[in-house]
This record gives sequence, C-alpha cells and structure tokens, in this order.
Amino acid sequence: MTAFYVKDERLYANIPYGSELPFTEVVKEAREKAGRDMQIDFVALREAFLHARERDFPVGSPDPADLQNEKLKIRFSPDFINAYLILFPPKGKGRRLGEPEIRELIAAYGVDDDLLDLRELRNALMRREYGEPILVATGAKSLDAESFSISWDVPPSDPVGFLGAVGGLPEVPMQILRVVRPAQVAGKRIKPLPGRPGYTVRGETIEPKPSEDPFHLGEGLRISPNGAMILATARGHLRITGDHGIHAEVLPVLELEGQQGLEDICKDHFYPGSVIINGDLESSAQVRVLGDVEVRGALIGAGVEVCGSLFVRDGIINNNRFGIAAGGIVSAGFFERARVWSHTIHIRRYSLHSSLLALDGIVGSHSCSVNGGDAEASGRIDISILGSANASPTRIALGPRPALSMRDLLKSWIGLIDRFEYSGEVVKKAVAVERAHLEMLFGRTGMKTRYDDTFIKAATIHPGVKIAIGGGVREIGNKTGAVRFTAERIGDKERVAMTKL
Amino acid sequence: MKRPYLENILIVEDTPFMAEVLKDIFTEEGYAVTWAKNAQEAIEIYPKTLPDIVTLDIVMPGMDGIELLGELFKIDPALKAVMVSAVGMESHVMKAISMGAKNFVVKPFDKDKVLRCVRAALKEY
Repeated sequence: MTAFYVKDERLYANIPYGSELPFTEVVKEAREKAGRDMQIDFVALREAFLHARERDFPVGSPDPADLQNEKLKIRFSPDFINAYLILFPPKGKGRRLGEPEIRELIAAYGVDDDLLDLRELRNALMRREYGEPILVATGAKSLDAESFSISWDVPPSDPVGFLGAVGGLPEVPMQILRVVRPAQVAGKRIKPLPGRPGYTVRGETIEPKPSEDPFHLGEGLRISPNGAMILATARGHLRITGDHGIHAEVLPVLELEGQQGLEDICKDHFYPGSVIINGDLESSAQVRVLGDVEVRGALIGAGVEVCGSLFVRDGIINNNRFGIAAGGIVSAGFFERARVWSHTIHIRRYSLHSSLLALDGIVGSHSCSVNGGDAEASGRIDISILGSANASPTRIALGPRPALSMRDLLKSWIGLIDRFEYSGEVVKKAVAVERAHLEMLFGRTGMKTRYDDTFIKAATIHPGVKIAIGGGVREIGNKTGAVRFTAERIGDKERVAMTKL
Repeated sequence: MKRPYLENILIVEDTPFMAEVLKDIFTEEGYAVTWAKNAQEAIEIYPKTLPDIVTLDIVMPGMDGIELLGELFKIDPALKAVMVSAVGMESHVMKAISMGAKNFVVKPFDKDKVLRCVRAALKEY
C-alpha cells in the first residue's frame, strides 16, 4: 500500500517495490489523501510509480500555482549508467525551480548525489533548454574479468591456430609436435585479472562477468591441483588445436629416427595417433596417419595421407607418384615438383613447379614465392612473389578443383576409418573426433560457383603468370607490384579485376 | 534524433495494416511499441505498461477512440494521447482535444507529421 504524507505543506508519496497495486488504485488513494486541501500533480505521481519506488516523492501541494511551476523528469539509460535531466517550462505565473529543489527531485528519483555532475547541472540551469535531455549523472560500467589463457610451448597444429601463431614467419620452431610424459607440465594456465564491479547512477552495484575458461582438455590432460598448470596423464603427442589453442589432448605417438617400419604400421589403415620422424622420409609407399605428422628433415618421393596436419622442416620433393593429402595444414620450407592436396597449404620459402590444391587457402611467409606449376584454392591465395624473372608458366587460381579432389578423398578416408576395427578407449575416442572432423570437411566440399568473397593477393607478380578466378582469366604481361585480384561480373561474363594495393 | 533512453508508445488501432505502418514509423525512431487492436485490449494493456504516449484511432468497432480516451484518463490522469482520424472527422477531433488529447494526425499517415506530433507531445510535462 502506498504511503502518503504531508511534509512542509507538500504531499509526498512513497510507493513500495513489487507493489501489486495498480496505478488506478494509487491515483484513487492519492485523491482520497489529498482531499480538497491539496492539488495533485498526476504526472509526478506517475513518475513516482514508474521511477521512484520506495522513495519519498513530492506529488502535490496546497497551492494550485505550484502546479504551474517549472517541472523536471529524470530518465535513465537502459543500463542505468546514465541519468538525464529534462526540464519543462513554467506555465502562467509559475516560477523557475531553484537548484536545491531540483537536486531534491533528482535525489527522489534515486540518483546518487555524489554522482551528480554539478557543473553540467548548473550549465543546464543557465541554458534552460526545455524538453532536451541533459546528462547530469554517470555511473560506471563493470569491467568483465578476462578469460583464462594457457601458455603452450608449441603452436597449435590446426590451420587457424598454426597460421595465427607462426603464419608470416619464414622459419618455424624447431619442434612443432611435442611429446609429453605422464606428470609432465604440458602448459601453464594463466589466471586472468578479476573484473571490476560497476555501479548505476542509483548506486546499485553491477557485478562483473566472471572469468571464463574456454579451454577444452581432452584425453591425457588434467589441471594441476593449484590450477596453475596443465599436466599430462599419458605419454603421447600434445595436440593443440583451435585459435589460441583452446582444445588440447594427448594422442598416441610414434617417434622414429627414420622411416623404418612405418609402412607396415599404417599400410591398410590410418595409424591412430601422430608420427614424428627425426630425419628424412623417403618411403616408396603411402603412409596413413590419423593425427599429425612432423618430418624433421625432408620428405622425398613419399606419399602421405594425414587426417590432421603435416609439418616438414625442410621441403617436400618429387612426390608426384603418390602425392600428399591432409585434412589440416601442410607446412613446408619448400615444395619442389610436389603434388599436395590439403585444407590449407603454408609455404615458408618457395614452391617450384609443384601442383598445390587447397580447400581453403594457400598462404605463405612474407618472402615466399610460387614459381612454375599451379596453385589452386577454393578460398584465398596470399603469396608474396608469383612467377619468376624468366617468365616460367605459373597458374594461380581460385576454382572448384580443390573441393572436387578433396571430396572423393575425404569420402574414401571416412570409409577406411569405418572399415578398420580400432582397439582401446583412448584410440576409439581419437578416431571418433577425427572422423567428425573429416565429416565436417566433407560438408565444405560442395560445388562453389561464385568467388565474390575470395581473393588472390601478391606483392610482386612476374610475366608468365596466369590468374584465374571462376570463369575469368588474366594473363600478366608486365612485372607488377602489390595487387589484389578479385572476381568481377559484367553481365554474364566473368573477369578478373586487379586492384593495386 | 533518437533519445538515449527508452520511450514507450501504445498504438490503439483496429486495422492491422495501419497499426503496422505506425509501428514501423515508431520503431525506426527507436521507440518501444505495443499494439492494442481494440478499446478493450487497450484498457487491459494500459495500466500494465503505462506508456509515455498513446495513439488512438477514433473510429473503432465497439468502444470508439473518444470514449476510450475518457476511460484511459480515469486510469491515468497524466495520460498523453494523440488522436488518429480520417479526413472529415473534425468535430470528433475537437472533442478529443477538449477532453485532453495532445494532438491529432490524419490518415493516410505522413511519417514526418506523425513523428512531429509525438515528439511535441513527449516534450510536454
């Protein structure tokens, strides 16, 4: 029930919070309380009902002339961080309100007096711009806590995470795939600074959003009791994926000094883990791996099919007979007469007379080059130097070939996984995760007919380079500086547009 | 110019098309809009939302806009109303103004005029 009382010859209302009383009843009560002696300001009563619950709010006066006086309302931003004063002009013989009266009314709206911008308020009273909202009090927004982060010693091995960490560099860390043992520290968990609470103009506290832990730890990892570290619980490859390395798991790992025995292990199925070769890989047969592969030497003539990513410290040479296929990224120092199909291809130094097909993009370090052969992606191509001074024929394209090639390949990989009986809980889980990854990739191999959202970018292009996007082709006749090529349509005709950067 | 705080408008209009036109005009300007399709619905909605302003169609089946204006004043003596009328209803409009309506707009709607009327009414105490 609303409390009405008279103080200093003025009628005040105090309407409780959560009152089920409809406004009609408040009006009725006010009329009864006011009787014939008091004039009710119904606008003020409505303001008290809507904006000043549980506060003493002046709603009436015995002098009818008081209703003609200058008036005010306070309005709040939706988050209650800002309070705006709106002044309304006096009518007839009404008078202007003085600063003490205005501050009393502002306080009746619940605005904390300490938060009032008195300078702005006084300016407003000088200007008297009626009907215009003037910001007179400001609270403070809360500062949300940051998310947890983890410092891993190695870059993520998926395309997005890997390129984010080392994409533009001509050299990569000595070891990309890291092997951990039980109880070994896999990563340091960095506790973020807590957030800071804010407050509304009414002095209410706004709690900050608490810290989030976006990391998903899979098999073989746990958080240390003090929460500061990620510890391995099994031996294997610490596989980190996702932007900023938000997923991590420990996969079985095969570490070889050379290639001996590798063909036998993954002859008719995918080896259910990752493989690290401390040297060159010169196989005469196909190697199939479910996780990631790192060759800490050169990959010469061998064929590799890897559901995850392939990292080659030196280069990939002469593997035209078998080819290389990866569901993640293929990153190598150089590609010489290489044939590669992958989600993403990362060239750290150069590609020479190779055939590169990427479902997403072909990207390189800040000084890499593609000289001879062909490079085609469905997404983007971003290479520093295209072609060579001796005008060797080089085709750079955005087109459907990578999707068509990868489609059949991914289908056959899924079939191969389904046919083989893997044993062990950890292995079965890893296989299920990788199978889902392949299914997702397969879903992205649909026929793309337009390339409006893609581009080819280079810093230098030599004559002899042919740029193809969709149905449009452009041959480069003169050496060109930094440019971007995009698809352009004029009527039914497709063209390659060139924009200087 | 959009205000940095929310203002609510209740549209009382029996023709959905006309209500949609008004709703689009107001929402584009950042007002929060509620629609009542007849007088009965308006009497139910009004005390729950206590809108900053009401637009009232004069001609509606059952209780018309003038009668509804009187009912709403009983609920909220500080009500602000803008009447919506067709051409040739001057006498009804005058009656509504004499009862306390702030202004009126004539169908078909001129967006600028509708907004001018509403803004002017909202600028009053």
